[in-house]
Amino acid sequence: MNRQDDPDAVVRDLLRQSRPAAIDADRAARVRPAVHAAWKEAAAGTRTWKRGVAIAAAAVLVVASALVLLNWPRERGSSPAAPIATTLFVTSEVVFQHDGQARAGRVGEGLRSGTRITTYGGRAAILLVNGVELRLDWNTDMTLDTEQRMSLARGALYLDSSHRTGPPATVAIVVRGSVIRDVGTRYEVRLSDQELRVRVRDGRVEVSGAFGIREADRGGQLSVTPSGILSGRASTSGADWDWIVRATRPPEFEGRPLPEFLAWAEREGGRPIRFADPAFERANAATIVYGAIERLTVDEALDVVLSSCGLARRTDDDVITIVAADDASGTSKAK
Amino acid sequence: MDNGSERELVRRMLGGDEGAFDEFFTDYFPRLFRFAVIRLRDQDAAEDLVQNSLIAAVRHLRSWRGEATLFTWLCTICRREISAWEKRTSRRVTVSLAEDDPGVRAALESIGAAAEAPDAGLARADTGRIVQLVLDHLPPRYSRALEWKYLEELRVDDIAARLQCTPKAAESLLTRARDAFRDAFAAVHAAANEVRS
Repeated sequence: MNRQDDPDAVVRDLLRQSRPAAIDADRAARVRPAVHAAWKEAAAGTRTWKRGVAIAAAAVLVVASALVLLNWPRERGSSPAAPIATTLFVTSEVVFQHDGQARAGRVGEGLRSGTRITTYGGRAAILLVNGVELRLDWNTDMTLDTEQRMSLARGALYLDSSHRTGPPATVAIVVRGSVIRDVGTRYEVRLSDQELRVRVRDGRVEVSGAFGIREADRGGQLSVTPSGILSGRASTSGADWDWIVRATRPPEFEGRPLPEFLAWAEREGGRPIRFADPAFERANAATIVYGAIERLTVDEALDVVLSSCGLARRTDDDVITIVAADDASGTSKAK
Repeated sequence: MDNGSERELVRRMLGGDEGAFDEFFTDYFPRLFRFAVIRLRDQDAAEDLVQNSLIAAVRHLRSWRGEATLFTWLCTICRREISAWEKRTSRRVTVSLAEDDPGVRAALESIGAAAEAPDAGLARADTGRIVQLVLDHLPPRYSRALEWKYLEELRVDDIAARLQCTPKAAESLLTRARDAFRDAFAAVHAAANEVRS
């Protein structure tokens, strides 16, 4: 029989052709946890990524607490290592180290006291069990000492304590002999060879060190250098802040009301957002959002979402005003 | 096409079946990664974009209606991720692929079209890539069964055991898989040749 007439032979010959190389199993191992966590959340029907992970973190804490109580009579005085944070978002290259063991970062993973996080070329976001969220920029090296204290050795952190739960308590970030404490706020700490810089987006921050204690509030900036500390003003929005959106996964707004999206854009973008007038705001209260915003900056997300709703934005004096798309024609869009 | 098993897989995933997720990830991650990396020529970027694509897919699994195969749907999501990545990074992917030609895409997406036997004169490297493309677009059960039979040289009884079906059903599936593979290969090969000429 001619080989071309033998279907088995033809298929066998084709399948034995040299094909592209197999995929590195490490890649699958790195990707799988994040996809699995997203699938679990979707399958469970939970509404937001963050809430799902927060609940998981809380559940871990409850179970750990229960175990502590159960073991109390036998292990009085011991301190079991319960997770103090959970990973919300992580890109490749982020490494967690604990007890001398290093591993690739995973979404949804519980982090214990003493965990060191190094982001190298990636970014990460973690949620402490007290509801405070931390985002880590690339090239950052940070250690979780406790749920209320972190040590920053390199890079930049963004802290958002606006969703803090439980009793009020500050979170301290220790950097080269200085300690930064928040008072219900959102702020960035950035460490370079020359200085430690703190920029406050909202609320109030206290920085203490050899120079004494200084405070900064919204729009304030403190720069600590070997020669002392300087106070100044800093913008609470703009391209310098774009990294914080890229260091986490935004909520899904597809099918959600426009005001929910605008509240997120205001919080993450650092600029107040207003409608042109109250009647226009009422008219758009039930507008539904369409369009994916993942990996976009806040400005890009605003443009995508607003244009799909027949709206546009104007930016004057760092305030964003929502107008009808028709009204915006001929008006420059300040970024 | 084995559309019923894809629908069943999605139904089980929506119901929270861990085994279904394992099957989904094992079958589709390598395929989608190959799809992305050949376009980006950057393995790390491909890994990130495939992760994003799969996350978007599992979050919107209910919106897959079975009009296209699951893999075609995943490729659509991945194409969007690649476009967004180009915009974010101001990098333009310049890789031009025969399989992005509408004719070849149509052939890949409508596997089963009647066509002539493969051309023995086709360059071996191209043949290997088309073989992989076709396997990636076939239903995963078909691809697995073909590789078990023709590469691992398993007996039908062993394949049936792995597929958790009777030997008769395995034989029938192998026949359908072999026919689908030959037809698809011929259709894609013909369309790719048209693009080249």
